[in-house]
Amino acid sequence: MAEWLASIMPNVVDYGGKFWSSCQATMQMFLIAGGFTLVFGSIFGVLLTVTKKGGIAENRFLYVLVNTVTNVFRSIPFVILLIFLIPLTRAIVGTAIGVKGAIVPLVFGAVPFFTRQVEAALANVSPGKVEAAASMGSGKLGIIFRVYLHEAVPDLIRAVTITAISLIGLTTMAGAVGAGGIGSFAINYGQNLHHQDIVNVCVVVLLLFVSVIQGLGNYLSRRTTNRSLFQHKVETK
Amino acid sequence: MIEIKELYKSFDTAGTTVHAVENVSLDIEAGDVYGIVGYSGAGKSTLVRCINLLERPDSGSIRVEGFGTIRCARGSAFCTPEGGAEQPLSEKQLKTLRRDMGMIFQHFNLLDRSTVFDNIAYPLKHSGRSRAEIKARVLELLDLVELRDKINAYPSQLSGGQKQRVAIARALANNPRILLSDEATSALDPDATESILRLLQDLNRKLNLTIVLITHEMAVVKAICGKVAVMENGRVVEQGNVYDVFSEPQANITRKFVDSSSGLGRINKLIDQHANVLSGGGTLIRLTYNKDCVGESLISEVSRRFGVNMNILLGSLELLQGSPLGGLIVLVEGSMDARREAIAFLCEHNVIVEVIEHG
Repeated sequence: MAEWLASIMPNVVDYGGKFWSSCQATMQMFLIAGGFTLVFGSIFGVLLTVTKKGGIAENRFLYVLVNTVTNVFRSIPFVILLIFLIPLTRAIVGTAIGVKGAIVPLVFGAVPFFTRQVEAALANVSPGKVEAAASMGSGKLGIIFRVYLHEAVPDLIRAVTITAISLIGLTTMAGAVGAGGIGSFAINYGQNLHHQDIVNVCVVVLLLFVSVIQGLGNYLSRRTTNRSLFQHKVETK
Repeated sequence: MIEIKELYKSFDTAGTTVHAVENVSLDIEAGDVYGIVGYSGAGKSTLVRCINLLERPDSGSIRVEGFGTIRCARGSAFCTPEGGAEQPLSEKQLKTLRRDMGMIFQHFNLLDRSTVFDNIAYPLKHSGRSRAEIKARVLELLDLVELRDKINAYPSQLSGGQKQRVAIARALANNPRILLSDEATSALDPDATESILRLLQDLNRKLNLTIVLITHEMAVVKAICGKVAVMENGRVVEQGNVYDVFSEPQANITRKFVDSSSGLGRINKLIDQHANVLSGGGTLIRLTYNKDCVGESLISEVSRRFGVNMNILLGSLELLQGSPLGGLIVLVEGSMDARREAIAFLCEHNVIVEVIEHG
C-alpha cells in the first residue's frame, strides 16, 4: 500500500508531514472563520430583513448602514481585501500572517456573502406567516426566532452550504499571502517545485471536502423541508 | 363588542395616496356574525387589520368591549383601558388586545415546519403554561375542529379545509371573544367552504364567539352572516341586517352583489347581448318579494285581474336567516294602462317593483 502510494505520488509521501499540517491549517481557518461568519452573517441578515421597509422593525438608518457596508465588502475582490485589511488584522490579532492573520480577512470576505444569503432565505418566508404570528400576539423576537428563522431552516442550510464552499475557496487564496493551508502547500510545494502530483492531490482533497459539505447540505435541507429534523410525536391517549 | 368610529387609513404608494379606509364607522355587537363584503381593493382587508392593529389607522377610534378604547391620531395610538385614563398604547396592551382576537386567513399561514400540534400550541407557548396544560388545551381544540387524528401531521399533508381547521384551532387557543376572518374560505373548494362555514357557525353559537368575516363571495354572507356591511373604495356604502340589505339593496354595488349571487343579474347580460327579450313589446320588470308575500299567488292574480300576460323569464328563491326571499324577472305584456295598473297592484302588495326596460 505504502509502496503503491509512493509510486503514484512520490512527492506527497515525501512531504507527508507538511501536507498533513496544511490540511489541519485549512480546517482550522475554515472552522474558526466559518463560526464567526455564521454568527455575524445571521445577525446582519436578520437585521436587513426586519429593518427594511415594511419589515417588523422598520429602521431606515440601520438598514442603509448594514446594506451599504455589505455591498462595499462584497464588491472588493478577496485578494485585494486581504492586503487592504492587513493593518486592521494587525490591530485586532497582532499579526497578519499565518492562520491567525487569515481569520480576519476571511470573516470580512465571507460575512457579506452569507448576509445576502440569509436575507434571501428569510425573504422566502411568506409575509402571511409573519402577520399570523403578530395577530397571535408574538413580539419582534418571537417572530424572528419562531417564524423567520424556524421556517427558513431548509433555505438557511442551503445558504450555509454555499457559503461554506465559497469559504474553502477563500482559505486557499489566503494561503497565497502566507496563511498556510492547502492553498499555499499546492503553490509552494506543488507549483513552485514542479511536483504535479502534489497539486493533483490537493485538488482531490478539496474536491472531496466540497462534495461532503454539498452532500450533507443537500440531505439536511431536504430532510427539513416542510418538517422538522427531529419529530417528536404527541400521544393522543 | 367592537365599535369603530370614523376610521381612516391611507397608503402612499409611488407618489399617489390610496385611501384604503375612509371614514368608516361600524358597530359590531357581541355574538354577531358580521360580514364585510366588497370587491378586491375595496379596503375590507385593511379595515379588519385595523381592528387588531396589524395596520395602524391614521385616525379614528376602536372600542373593544372588555378591553378599552384605542384612539389613533397622526400615526400614534392611544389606549384608554376600561375605567382608566388615556395613555400611549404600550406593546403589552397591544399583545393583550391581539390575544383577545383570533384571526384566520385566506392562505391559512400555518408554519410548514411545525406539526399540527406545534402550530396550535404556538400561541400557548411562552405564556407561563406547563407542557401538560398546553397539551390538554391543544387536544381540546383539536376535538373542537374534529382533527384529533392529525395531531402529528404537517400542513403539507393536509387538505385546504383541514389546514383552515388547524388555523381556526390556533386562532381560538387563547379563548378569544372575537374571531377575524379574512377571506377564510376563498381558497377552498365548495365542500370545504361549506364545512368551514358550518364550523364557524357552530363556534359562534357554542362559544358565543363574535365573528367579523371578510369576503367577496355573497354566498358566504348569505350562509352565515346576520349583519353585513358593503364596502366600496374604502367607504361603507350600506350596512344592516343581511335580510334587509339583500331584499332592498340601495347602493349600486350592493345590487350588483345581490344580482350576481341570485342569478337574476343574468337578465342584464341577456339585454346587453340584444337577445330578443322585448321584441314583442311589453315591460320588463323585476319583482322582489320578501317573507310577507312569498306565499301569495300574486302573478296569476295580476294576470287575471288586469288581463296582462306575465311571462316569467328568470326566478330565484332563497332562504336568508331562515326567511324566504324571492326575485322574479317578468315580461308584462298588455295595454299600457293595464301594465301600469298591474304594477301599481303589485306595489300595493309589498312587492318591490323595478322597471328594467319598456318595450
